[in-house]
Parts: sequence; C-alpha cells; structure tokens
Amino acid sequence: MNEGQLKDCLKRAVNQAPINLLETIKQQPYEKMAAHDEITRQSDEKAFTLRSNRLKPALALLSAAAVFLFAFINWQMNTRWVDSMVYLDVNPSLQIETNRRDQVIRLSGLDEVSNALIADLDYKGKDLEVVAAELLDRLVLGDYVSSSEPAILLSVYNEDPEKRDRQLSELDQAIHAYLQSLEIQPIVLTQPLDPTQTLTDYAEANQISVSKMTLIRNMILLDPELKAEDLAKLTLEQLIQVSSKVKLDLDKIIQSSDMDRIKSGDDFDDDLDEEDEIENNIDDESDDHKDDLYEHDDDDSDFDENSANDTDKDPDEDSEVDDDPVDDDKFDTEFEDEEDLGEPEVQEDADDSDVTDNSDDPEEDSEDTADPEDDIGDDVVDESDDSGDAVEDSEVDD
Amino acid sequence: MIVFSFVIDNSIEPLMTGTVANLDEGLFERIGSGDMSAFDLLYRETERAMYTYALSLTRSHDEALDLVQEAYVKVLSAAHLYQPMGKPLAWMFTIQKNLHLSKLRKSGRIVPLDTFDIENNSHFSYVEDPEDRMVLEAALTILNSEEQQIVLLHAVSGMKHKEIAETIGIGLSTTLSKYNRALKKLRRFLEERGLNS
Repeated sequence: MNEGQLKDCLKRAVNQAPINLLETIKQQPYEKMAAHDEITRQSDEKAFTLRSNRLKPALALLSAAAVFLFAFINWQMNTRWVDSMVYLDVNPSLQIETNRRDQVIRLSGLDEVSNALIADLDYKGKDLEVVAAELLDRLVLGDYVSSSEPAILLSVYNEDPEKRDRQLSELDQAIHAYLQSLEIQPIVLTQPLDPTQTLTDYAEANQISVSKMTLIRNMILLDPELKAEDLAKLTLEQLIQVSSKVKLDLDKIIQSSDMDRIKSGDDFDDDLDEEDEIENNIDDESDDHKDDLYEHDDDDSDFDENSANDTDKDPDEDSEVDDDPVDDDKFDTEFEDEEDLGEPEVQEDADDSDVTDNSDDPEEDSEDTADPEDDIGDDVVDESDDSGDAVEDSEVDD
Repeated sequence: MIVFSFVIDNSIEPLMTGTVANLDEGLFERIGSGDMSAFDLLYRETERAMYTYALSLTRSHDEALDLVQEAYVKVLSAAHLYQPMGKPLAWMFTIQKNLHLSKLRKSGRIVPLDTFDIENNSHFSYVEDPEDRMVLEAALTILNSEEQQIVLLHAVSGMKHKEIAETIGIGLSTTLSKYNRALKKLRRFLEERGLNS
C-alpha cells in the first residue's frame, strides 16, 4: 500500500464520520468571557514562535552578517591594523609597520635617500625578518653599511612589552646573523620605543627619526648638559662616540649585546680625534654647542683647550648664539614634564664645577669631572631620594 | 467559494476545500459581535479539521465529537477576545488541546486509550469499507499523538506540511520526518496484518 492509497483510506474513513454538531452548538448557552482563561489563552510562546518563524529569514541574515562582520574585523585586526612599529636607523632611517602576525604592512623612509632605498621593494604581507634582511641587503649594496663595525639603532614600539622585547631580541639576532655572514660585525643598539607627540615634534623639527630622537632624549636625561640640536646633527656612530667620551651609562637607556665594544670605543676614539669629521657634520654656528658636548671630555687632549674656551665665555653667551628653531628650555621642560624629572639640580652643580673648577685647577677639575657619571649618578640618586626607585627607573627606561 | 451543501447526510462529502489553514481571521471579530452567520461559515470551514485533530487527541469518535462541541462553544465565548496572530486554526486547536488536557486531569486518566480499546471501538463502525476502517484504526493505534496529527491533517484536511508545522508549532523539517516515519510504521503494521493491496 503506497502513500497515496494510505491517504485515500484515511480521508474516506474520517470523512464518513458523522459530525453534525452545528445546531447543537448554537443551542448551547454561552457567555462572553471577560478575559481569556487557561483554555482560550493565546499563547505568547506560540505568538513568539509564529513571529519568529516570520522573522527567521531576517534573523538568519542578521546572524550571517554578524558572523561576517566579526570575521572581517578579526581579519582586519590581524592583517591590516598596525601592531608594531619598528625603526631601523643606519643613516638612513627606516620605519616598518607590522600587523599582529608580524607581517609588514607599511614601509617608509625618513627622507628621499631612504625612500629611494625602499623603492620597488615588495614587502606587503612578508615576515618582518624577511623584509629586514632585504633592507640590510640593500643597505650593504648601497654602501650605507660600509664600515666593518657599523652602528645600527633598532627600536620597537608595541603596547605589549613582552612582544616588544621578543621582537627586539629576534631582530637583533637576525641582524647580527645576517651581517656576520657578510663578515660585518655590527654594533646593534636596541631600545624600546614609546613615542610621544613632543618627541615626534622634535624629531620632525630636527629632521631625524623618532627612534633617534628617543635615543637623544635619553642621552640628555643622563646628561642634561647635552644639547638636542647638536646631537641631532650627529650620526649614530658619532652619538656613540659622544656617549663614550662623556661616559654616559648607556646600559640605562639601550640594550645591546655589543655593549663591551661600545664601552671600549677604540675605533670611535680614533674617529673622535679626527674632529674635522664631526665638524663637517655640525654647522659652524653650532661650534659652541659642540664645545658643550665635550665639556666632560677629560680623557681627550683637546679637552683643556675646549674647556678653556668655555671658561672664557659667559655661560649666557651660549643662549645668545642659539638660534635653533627648537627652544632648549621648552625641550627640557617638556621632557621633564613627561618624564617627571623634577628640578634639574645636578645641571646647576655640573655647571658650577665644570666652569669654575676648570679655570682654577684643571687637575682638580679632572678629579671632579673625571667621572661625569658620578654626577649623573648623583642626579639619579637625588631623584630617587625624592621620588623613590620607580622614578629612577622611569627616567632611564622608556 | 462557500459550498452551501453542508453535510447532514453522512453519504455526502463534507466541505474540504483544502484552504482551512488560510481561514479569515476577521470571522472571529464578527462572531464576537454576535454575527452567527460568521460562526456558520467558520464551522463549515473548520469542522473536519477540528474533528480530525480531536480524533488524534482522543482516539475515540465519541470523545472527539464532545471535544469539538466544547471547543466551538469556547470559540463563541472568547471570539471577541481573539487577537489576530496569523493562524486562527492554531488557536482553535489550542483550545481543543487545553480542553482535552483539562478533561484528562479531571478524570485522572493520563494515558490515552490503549490499542485494545481502539481496535474494539465499535464507534468506527460507521466506516463502511473495512479496509479504510482498518487503516484508520491502525493509524490511531500505532502512531503517537503528534504523528497522528501530522498524517491526519495532511491526508484528511489537505493541509500542507508547512501549514501543519505552523499550526501545531513544530519545525517544517520535523513535520516532514515525522510524516515519513509515520507512513513507514503504518505500512509495515498493515503489511504484517496482511493488507498489501
């Protein structure tokens, strides 16, 4: 018996049922109900079911749209949104922006040289280390990494400190491995980055990268007598020279597996003796500032001459010749505001000791200034006395 | 189109237009305002479907008739309270179901008639063809209440599966699967009793 036969049988059987109830029902007494009872109540659940049945297509569409939107946002976050900013300063300076998967999504240079270097480079979607290797290749071929011990400043900004440190470490190792394969022993300085608007503004005013500006800012924090506008004109190697000469404790502001070579600074000392090279990089009008940079240079034979010149000058004279578009006081003040440095008491001490003592007794002065780090140390200690260890850390860390 | 040949004689085919699921909801408003012609129309449109549904609940012709009668009286009492929700037949079925459950609670009988009661129910004797009667008794015996509702409403009232699903408040896929499973059970049952043709 097939379906049709079954249906016919059932239909015939039920249709034969005698149901003549109409007149009986109409004769039944009934009262109009004031409200639904439990028998006649129109179920809300049923109503909801009926409504939801009608809304099902719309709900399905809405759900699909929500899933699509979620997937799209997730994809955007993973692939299109900037997660890390990596700065590679080798003179020229390069900025690499990566997504959460450490794939490069944007690459930019600071100037025309940098932009020419990265022209035609297919970087989108490629791993950070692959692009970094490609950039190093171009830097070597372009003779930008020519010396046997080139200095490279590697800076990373990421909101997640763990990821930031991991990226710094991995890139540091990758750069060393790649350049050592070319028999180049790089000096890689790594620093975490937390660019502020002030830093960015000063970087733009001095036409240097934010990462290099951060290094300079941190150097000034260690030695307030250093001038930003002077340091901005120096190459990375020269910055290392300066820090070595004024005995800045670079450990406090950068991490480097090449720190021993930086501190020994043999090659850089030779370079520093050749002052002409540095002078070429500094405008004539900033000679006075250059002298300021060497105020602490008690090791160098030129020191006496420079310091003597300094002592002949009125300290106010510096400010008179300072025509830098960036106001030093503002710069210092803003950094102090940002870093909660407090009063620069040590700067006043340093001025007194350097200028006065040098003119009286260079030998005595050499004792006082033999280790400017002591002054810096005092500075940091003074600050820590006031504000505790946390402040000390904040001064030298990012 | 309304057919005025309302069934009084059992031999006359009752009104089965197949459009019972598309009942005009405006009838309830008219009934609520005392328009008995509207009730006549409602009765003629829904009588067979109401009986079929009642039969699936009670598995007894007499009890089904009582239930149908009570349900229509309730409709008369509450028609003015009816809120249009798209499926008027669903409301009438709900009234029947609630009345049936209420009666079961009052009588203390939770379980419906068992197989023996149905097979010896002489009230199905009105079915002239023994084969038709056997199929109806088989359907009321081996199928559960939901399967009976689906099969009978589809076969007798001509309701589409989608309309049945919306009326008794289950999914379309569930309705289809239960319908196919019910037919298989019914066919197997009848074959075991030698009804193959």
